[in-house]
Amino acid sequence: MDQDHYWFNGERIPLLPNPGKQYLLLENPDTFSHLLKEISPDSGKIPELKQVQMGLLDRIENTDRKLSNSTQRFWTVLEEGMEERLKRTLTERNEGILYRGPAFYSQSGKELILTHIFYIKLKDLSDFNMLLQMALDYKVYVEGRNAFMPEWFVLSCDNKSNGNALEMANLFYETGLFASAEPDLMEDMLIQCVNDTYFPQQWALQNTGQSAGTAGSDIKMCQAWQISQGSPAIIVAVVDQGFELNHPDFSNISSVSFDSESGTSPSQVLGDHGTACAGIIGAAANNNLGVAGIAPNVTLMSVSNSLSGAPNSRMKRADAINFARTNGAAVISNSWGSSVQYQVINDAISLALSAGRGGLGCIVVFASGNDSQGSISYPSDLPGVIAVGATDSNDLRAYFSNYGTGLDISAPGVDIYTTDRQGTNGYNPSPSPAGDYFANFTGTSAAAPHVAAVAALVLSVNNSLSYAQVISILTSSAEKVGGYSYNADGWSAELGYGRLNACTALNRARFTISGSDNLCTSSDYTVNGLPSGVSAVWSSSNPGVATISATGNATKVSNGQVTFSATVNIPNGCGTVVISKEVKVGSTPMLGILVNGGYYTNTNVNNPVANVCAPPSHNVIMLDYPFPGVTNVQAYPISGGTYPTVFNTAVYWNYPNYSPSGTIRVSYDLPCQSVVQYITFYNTCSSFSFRAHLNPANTELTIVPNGPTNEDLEKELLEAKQRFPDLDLSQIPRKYIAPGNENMLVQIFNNHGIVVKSIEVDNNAKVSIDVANLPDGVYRLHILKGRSLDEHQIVIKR
Amino acid sequence: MKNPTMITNINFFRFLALAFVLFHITGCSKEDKTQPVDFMKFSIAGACSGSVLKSSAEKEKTIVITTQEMLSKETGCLTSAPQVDFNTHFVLAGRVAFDNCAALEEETMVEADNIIRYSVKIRQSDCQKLDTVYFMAAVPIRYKDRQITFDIKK
Repeated sequence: MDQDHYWFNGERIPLLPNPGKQYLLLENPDTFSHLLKEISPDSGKIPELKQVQMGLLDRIENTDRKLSNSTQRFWTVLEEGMEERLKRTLTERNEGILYRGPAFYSQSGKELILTHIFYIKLKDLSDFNMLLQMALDYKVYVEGRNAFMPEWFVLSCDNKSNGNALEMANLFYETGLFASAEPDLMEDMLIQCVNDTYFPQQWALQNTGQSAGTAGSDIKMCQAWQISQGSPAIIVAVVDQGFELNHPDFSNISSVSFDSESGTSPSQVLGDHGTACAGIIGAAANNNLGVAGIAPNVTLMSVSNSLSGAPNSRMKRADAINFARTNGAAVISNSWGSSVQYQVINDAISLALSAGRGGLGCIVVFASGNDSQGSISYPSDLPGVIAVGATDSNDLRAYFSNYGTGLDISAPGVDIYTTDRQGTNGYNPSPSPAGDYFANFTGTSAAAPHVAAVAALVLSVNNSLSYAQVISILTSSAEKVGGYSYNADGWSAELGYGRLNACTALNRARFTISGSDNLCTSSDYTVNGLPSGVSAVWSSSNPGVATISATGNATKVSNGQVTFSATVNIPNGCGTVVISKEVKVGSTPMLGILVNGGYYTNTNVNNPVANVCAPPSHNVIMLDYPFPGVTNVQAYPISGGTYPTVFNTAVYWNYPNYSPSGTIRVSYDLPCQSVVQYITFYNTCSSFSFRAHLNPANTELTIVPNGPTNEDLEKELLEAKQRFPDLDLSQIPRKYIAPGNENMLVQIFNNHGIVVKSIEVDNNAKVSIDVANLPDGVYRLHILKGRSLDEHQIVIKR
Repeated sequence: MKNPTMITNINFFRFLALAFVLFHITGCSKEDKTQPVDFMKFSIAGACSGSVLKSSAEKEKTIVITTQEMLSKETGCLTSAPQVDFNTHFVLAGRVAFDNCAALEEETMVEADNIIRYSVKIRQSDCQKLDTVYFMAAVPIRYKDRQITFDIKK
């Protein structure tokens, strides 16, 4: 079949062969990695593997003609300059390779790469079945229908098809049955990532071994840019010597800037350093010029300071940080240190962390210092600050980079290609345009902006993260490189938590877990933001509380709390991302009773009873609900007291002292159940005392507690029942617990001190004693309860 | 009548004072021997691979360059290599490495007591870039036999 043309709008468009390149479609990235390992590509250019994304397509569900069984497909282009052995191996072997596409030149000399895809436009929507039949006949696959233009379809080929995408497109078109059939010819391939002049030398972003380094020892920038190149809403302040606001490679400068030396705006260029730092963060990318910044679409704010010894220098640096915070900076990049500590700088950083970003906290990044010593320099050692060390192009700690306790993360910091002051100014004395860039920016000064920029990308993906969450994302996604000893937390003295990985960090930021915070019986959990063809594997921190299937279906086992974790393996060097969600399983009614300011007994009671007494007039009773997620709290008194005040999670009830007892009904909703509780209070202000009557007695002596009795409560509840006919009295606690809890020993002594009656009775009960057999006379009545004694004189007289 | 002896004494003291003043005006102090040297400074951003300046493991290195071959080895690779006529001049050069930002601020050269003193003032700042400061100057050949002192103020 002809491969020297394609059809466009009825016209035959010629193509010229380009034998130097070839398109590969692969089923599995592991195959590719396997081949790379086999041939040990220690030199030459390594092809980058990218995942196929089909965009917005309405999938055709009534056909099984989809490309292979795999949902993951990856593509790359073999090109001239690649290590010959690698190229030969990939060319000769078919292991895991689904399709090969040739390359062409257009008549104008434009390079075109044929992918596995071609497009068909139906003449009429009713022709769809004819399309399906032809696809079947020629062993091509209907990927789907365009979501906006229903007459357009995307088809794809593989090794089993009757031809490549160009041949198939021509064949379909030449039948005359379709309005259009066009092969997918890629131009301006993303495989080069960006077209900036010096990007091939930016080993930190894509290390192909170009700087005598190790391929892959980079921050995975090309992959990360597929997720985000930054949001203009995210402002990165570069607190430094000021950068050139008119540099041709800066296209995203904030109109707000500040010179902390003079205390005025705009910022000034007080040295060469600031322009170099700013370029790493935010130089324009893919503009056919100079270098590519890591976060080219964020907004750069220049805040200048001389960074040298001058009167009031430290206060001015604090001013610089405060200016950044108060003018909307989300990230504050600092490639400087100080040999002396200053509280004003501490305070400014502290404010940035606590008050920046509306309370979420600015991300404050500092270089760890270049003294080759085992302690990081101030202010990078402050809590909440990200301390950044430097790596070289082999993922080793740069020899000068300070290390040790407090080091958070490391990033490339040797021979970094970045922007320079224009022309003969700056580090590069060459005239423009070459002099606008500098190839050898070295130091932890260069490392810190890498981290600041990736932090800005993380916030571009999810700006609701706190500064602590951003630190966690950056450190947890760092690669454990260099062969250093990482402890159980994943930290090493040399590189902290490892070398920055932008791709993993952005995936970590964009993946979120959806599913209930409370698991009552069973529930599904899913990871949002997963790339097409990538899935998560789930696990539970405590299967005794809840289990979760590999696909995210969780089931309650018992009440408690559990953490569900989703592990996501991302291809193309973006590593493994683990994200977690804490889930409360079931719910246990929990009640806290505060009586007159102090917690009473335990906080987990179902039918609580409490004794209260607070002079002079009333008790203040607070019921609170420590179990999170309590809603719909309602309360009213059953007996005693006034109507309570109900807040979101607490009930306040004034309970007068004169009332012997009272019961309150409280209801509330927990995540998994509704709860009704009755709490009864007994007034114990009367303490331990009784009265005896009739005195003088005849045949019977009755002893009555001065406090409330169970009979009193019964009486009150019966009254309450009249007011609340639906009241279920069986639910209301009614066992009075008098102080001491013990039963009582009632004894009657005659005038010789001899016990003539002795009976043990229930605690606090009203009791009658038969005294008919005692002779007339004066007696002593002792009511003994624990160590307390209530003593009365009684007379028996008939 | 005036006392002639007293007049004589007064003249004597006037003479002493005058002699003291004249001594200080015309006398030879150490500073008086210091003479500025008419030197040419070159701005160089580095040195070539394999050069003495670049290869030295020391943080601070100074050299005297007396031939075109030596100069070419040090700076021949640079886009703006200094041009020196070694029939009329020789070259003093040095390099200082820093763990932080540093920049050449001032260069002076004087002669005193047959010693050429090449003073270099370097300004440091707190930014965390590894910086290496290079300095180089061409000195008239008539000073070639003088003792050389590099005075590097950091």
